[in-house]
Amino acid sequence: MRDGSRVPPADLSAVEDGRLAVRDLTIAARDSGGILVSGVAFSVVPGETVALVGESGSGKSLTILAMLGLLPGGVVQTAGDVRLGGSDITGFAGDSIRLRGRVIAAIFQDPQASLDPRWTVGRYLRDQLFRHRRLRGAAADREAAALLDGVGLPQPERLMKSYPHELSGGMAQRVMIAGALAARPRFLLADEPTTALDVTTQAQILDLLADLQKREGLGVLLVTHDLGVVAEIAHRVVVLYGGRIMETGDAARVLGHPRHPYTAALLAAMPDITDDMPPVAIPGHPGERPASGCPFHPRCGLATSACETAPPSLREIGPEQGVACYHPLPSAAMTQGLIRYAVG
Amino acid sequence: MPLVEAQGVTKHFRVGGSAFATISRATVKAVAGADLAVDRGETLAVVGESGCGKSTLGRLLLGLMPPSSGRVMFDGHDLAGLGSPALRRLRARMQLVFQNPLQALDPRMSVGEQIVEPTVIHPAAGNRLPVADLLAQVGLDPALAGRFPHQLSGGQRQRVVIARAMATQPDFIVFDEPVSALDVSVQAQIIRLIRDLQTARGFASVFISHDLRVVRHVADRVAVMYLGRIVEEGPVRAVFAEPLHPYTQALIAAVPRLAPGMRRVRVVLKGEPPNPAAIPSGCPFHPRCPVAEYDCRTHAPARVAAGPARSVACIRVASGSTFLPAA
Amino acid sequence: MDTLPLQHDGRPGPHLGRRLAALARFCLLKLARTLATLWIVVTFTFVILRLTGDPALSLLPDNAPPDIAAAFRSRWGLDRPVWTQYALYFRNMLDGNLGYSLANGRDAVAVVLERVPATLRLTVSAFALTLAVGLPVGVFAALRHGRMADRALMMLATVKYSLPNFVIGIGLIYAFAIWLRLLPSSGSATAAHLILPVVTLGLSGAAVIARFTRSAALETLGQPYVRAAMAAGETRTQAIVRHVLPNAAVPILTVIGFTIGGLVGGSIIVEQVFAWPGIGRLLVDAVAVRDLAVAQVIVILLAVAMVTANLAIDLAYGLVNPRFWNNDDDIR
Repeated sequence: MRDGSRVPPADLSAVEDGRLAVRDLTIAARDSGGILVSGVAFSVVPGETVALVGESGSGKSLTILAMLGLLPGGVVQTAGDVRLGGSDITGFAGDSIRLRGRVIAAIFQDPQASLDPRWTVGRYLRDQLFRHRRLRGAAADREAAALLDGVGLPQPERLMKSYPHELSGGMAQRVMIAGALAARPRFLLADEPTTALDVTTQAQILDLLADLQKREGLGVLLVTHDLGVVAEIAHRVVVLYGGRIMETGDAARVLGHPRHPYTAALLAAMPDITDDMPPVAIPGHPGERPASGCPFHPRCGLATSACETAPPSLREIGPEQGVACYHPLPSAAMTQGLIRYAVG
Repeated sequence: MPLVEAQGVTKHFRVGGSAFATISRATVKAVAGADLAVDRGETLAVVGESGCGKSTLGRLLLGLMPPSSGRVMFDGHDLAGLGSPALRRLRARMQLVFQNPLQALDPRMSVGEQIVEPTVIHPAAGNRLPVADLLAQVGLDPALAGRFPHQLSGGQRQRVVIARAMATQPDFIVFDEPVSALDVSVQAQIIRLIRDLQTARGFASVFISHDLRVVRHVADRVAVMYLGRIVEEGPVRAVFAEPLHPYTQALIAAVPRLAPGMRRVRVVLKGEPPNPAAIPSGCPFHPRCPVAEYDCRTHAPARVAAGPARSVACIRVASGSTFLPAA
Repeated sequence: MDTLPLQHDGRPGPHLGRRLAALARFCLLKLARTLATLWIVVTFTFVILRLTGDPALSLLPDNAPPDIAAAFRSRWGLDRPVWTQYALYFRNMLDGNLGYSLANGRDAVAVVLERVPATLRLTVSAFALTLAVGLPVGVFAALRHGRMADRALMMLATVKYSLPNFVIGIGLIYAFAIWLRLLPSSGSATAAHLILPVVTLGLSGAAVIARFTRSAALETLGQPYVRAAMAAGETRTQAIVRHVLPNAAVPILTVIGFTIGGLVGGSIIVEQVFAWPGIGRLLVDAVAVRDLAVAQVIVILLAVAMVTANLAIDLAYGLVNPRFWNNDDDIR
């Protein structure tokens, strides 16, 4: 269970420059007690984009919901905490609730369904501006128009009168982003924000997120299943499988030279539009959960008996770089060394 | 002669009407004059964004709905002109595999029962293969025959659906987003399976997908659809390496790239596809096209030959201009 | 290269005038349906009451001489062919004459109208109780979904829903009037007389409303926009009040319409059980003696009340649904 030493955030400014850190997050099913997420830890600083990447059952969405204090009914957080600066904001319990949406905002997968069907865009934005910044009347309308302009939506007057069902998916996601930014948050948690969108729209939204992240100095935590999206906009990446971190580190380095067999296999399974190499499947499916050991061992080509008994812990292998594997792949330097040796 | 051929096929739907009826009714032109041909043993991918009409086109090709105009030929027969017994015989030679395998399967029937169902419906069709062989050829353990759909993983269910489609030994299969609902690691398995089956059985197929990355690895040729029209068509490698239509170029540019240093160019395409109930005049792509000229607003371009085995519907291509700065 | 002033969406949005025209069309259609409903109801009542018994036999003493009975029949036109009576009834109705009570010769409309306030007092109070109990219980159960309180309340609602009103009424009379001696069992003299009939009538509606409110609230609670609103800074309570309840209101409204129907039907039985002097009891008496004019007026009144209630629900449904005001106004 969580420890009781919660430090209430006395002052918003004190936490605003801090990092958003998740430590030892563990989530279990309420009834069966089955562990869904185990010991997940990472952090995001303002100005960087961190991607949580994984297949179904990896625990990526549960992690983000736990961070927001919005875990669904049948699921509970059994250990770990979430810290913002020096303050414990786990589950946004107690006083820290006023930071939700204000310092940490969120957008979700199905943007049209994430807007109340009975609320116009204008009502949604004015509501956000009043709650977080006490703006109302003409000042709120001006700011709402500016927010819409800032996310690339023209004709703010007309849009403000629109209902969600009148918007396309891409427009709805832009409206969600505008509403999230209304509070001038430091962090944006984005749960598969482009999965439900068409490819040209997805590219527009990814460009927008990258722009905003630079312009506003936002810390972005992006949940996705698409390594292509990670390569597009993430600075750092956390690879999850079966509720555990497999590998973490600089995005270009992890995607370029994966050290964990799962990351490497996932990369090989991704079809690439420029590559003639057909995708290489991973046998089995991500739903199989072994009773013990590394969650990936039933599908891993390098697994040994050690992998079946206890899950490997996440080892530091460089600055902000870690891999949880008993048999990590050789590093890029080592591979090159080997090649040089072999070539003579 | 191609195995399947669409000649000027259109499909219109009447939509609208609410609780306060007759407020608004519109005609959606889901497919607006599509011509295409699929040869025996060939895979043609149909790509485009949601609402472009690709799924409707797939169903038209199978004769599952009659076209509003134009005709669909299968092995020399006009599907519209066939009486139901003749159509039924042809149907056994065509199959559909679609996105959500859980919807495609009957939750109360065992895997074995579902797989042989098409041969029960079409008793005359092909040689009947034993259930175990059907399961084995899609890479499933024959012991799964007694299981029910909810006991299988998503990838296994899609394999069952494919096994069922193979039961009548069809000549033609339409795959409608068969891997979109699957995890990446499983998606690669199904892509591999479809390719292997095609090599072994030699059926022709139409592979409908919004995911150009998948299409790159399953199709021989690709047709790009925008608002019910095929705007470009050709061999998949040639089209992806050197897209001619501005929409194809934008579509390919928007695909996320894995390799560092291969990051895509910034998006040149503004806006989103308009409602298929309100298709713009002239070339339907002109409002979003970065290189539209005045004539594009009034003149709907016909698809014309453009290089070996390729065609494109764009007056800028016909006039020989180039569009995008090299990425 | 010049950019062109291209527009791909020059369609005008629907004007308010067009929406109001649609609304007018809708109301006209409803009116036509109402008239058709009334015609069917009146005809049905006429046929049933005329063909199943002779008022002369039920109203006159058993030993009345045949010529008195014949005079009675001729006085009220009962000796004419049924179709003539039917045609006459409709002609009089068009003149605004709904006939006279066979029992006492008074204007049937007046006889019914003097009973209306008592019935209104009963049904309106019961309706208020239905909503005041049903809505909060349903929401509360949804919020405690799957816990003890939810299961207990829903079991109670099912029991209440499946017991007929007269059983409940008699049970309440036994408990509160006979055993506890707290409340009067019948009549309408004081406000205390109102309590037992209103509780009997109101609780069965409340059970239905509670069940539907619970399922509507549960469905709405699971919508992504509720989670998104909380992620944007709303507390759970705020999200429930601002997003769950208004959105759940749409399906609940439909059920409230059905409940009104149940109230009207239920009041007839409840008035019998508690000897409440409303139109329900009058209707039972009128049917018993084949007092056609009075029965017809009541049936017409009930039908009009039902249709009006349903119309109000339909309009409310349209008003709470933004899609009605913005149908297909696609701004893409």
